[in-house]
Amino acid sequence: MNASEGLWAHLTGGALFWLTLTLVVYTIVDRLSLLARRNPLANPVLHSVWVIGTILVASGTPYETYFDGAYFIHFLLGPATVALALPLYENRRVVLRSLVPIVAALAVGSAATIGSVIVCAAIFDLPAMITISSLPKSATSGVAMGISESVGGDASLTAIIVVATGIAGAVMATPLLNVLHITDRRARGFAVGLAAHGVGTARAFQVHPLTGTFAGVGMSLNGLLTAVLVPLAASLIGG
Amino acid sequence: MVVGLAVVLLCQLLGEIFAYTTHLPVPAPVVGLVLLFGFFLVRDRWEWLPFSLRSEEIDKTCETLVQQMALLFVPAGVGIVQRLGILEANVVGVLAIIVVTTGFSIAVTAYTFRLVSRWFPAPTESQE
Repeated sequence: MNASEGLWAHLTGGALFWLTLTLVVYTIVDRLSLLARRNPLANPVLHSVWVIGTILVASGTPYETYFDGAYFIHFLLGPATVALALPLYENRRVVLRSLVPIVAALAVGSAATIGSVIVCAAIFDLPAMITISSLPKSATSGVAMGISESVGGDASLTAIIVVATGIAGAVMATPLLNVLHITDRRARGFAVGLAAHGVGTARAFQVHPLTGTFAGVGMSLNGLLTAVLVPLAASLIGG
Repeated sequence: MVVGLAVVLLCQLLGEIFAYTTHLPVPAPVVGLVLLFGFFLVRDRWEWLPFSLRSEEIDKTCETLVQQMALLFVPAGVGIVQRLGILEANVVGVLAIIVVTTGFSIAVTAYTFRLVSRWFPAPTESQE
């Protein structure tokens, strides 16, 4: 083994390299997304994931090695959820005035999401493990992984499906809501946050602060309700 | 930054304690969110809190975390490299779940919100 191979092995075996790579790739991709005027298809999470994933596969690096470094970022998912208290607090009056539609949309949206996963899984005859792991797909990663574990799902699979859901929601929300002629920023934000959690909420904040705030409300409330509904749904389908 | 992170983590920690001791199926970060909201309410009403708790730093930390939230999903998303086998074997069904149910969820939620907000229009500012 020559010196450069030794250095490469030394670096890619440690946490520093992968943490740095994640930040560098995300920064570049996020800047490109800005250059693309925040086009939904230029979603920074989507493009960071495939770029980093390709580097891992090409270099034969196990995910565990990568995650040792990336964990420092992953850990902040919980604190970021807590931090949503700030936009919620700043907009508490407008949120409070919309309390009735919020509660109604939460109940219908959360139940419809879980129900549609069960129906979809039945149509495509998916293995029970995928179905169970997909039930909390609209809750934010940290929350969904906990729920998945508690009902016997595969937390890693849940994390992937959750992030993919977030990306899909963030990409399709703007065109979809335009086609549906939903112009109310509160309704748009709440729906994106409920369905596509933090990735959708990040997208909503790019569009407008009020949309983002309602997305944050939708995301947090659905995190709560999903934690209650998924165990019920799992026992219903015999998970 | 330090005091902000300390307050946010403390809220999450108390959320963890709450969820653990009550055995309620509530996610700790969501309880933490409620606690931090309560903290903001208290802070802006009571002047006697120590200066560090009244500083703008807490707001700035929260702003940074919320603004950069998308980045935080990258490590979990990269986990896809670990599950390529099972996902490939069920690619159509998994894609349907990811795309169709998410679109359905957005549409149903937005429609419900709009419908109900027409039945119960938001009170105007003057009624506050």
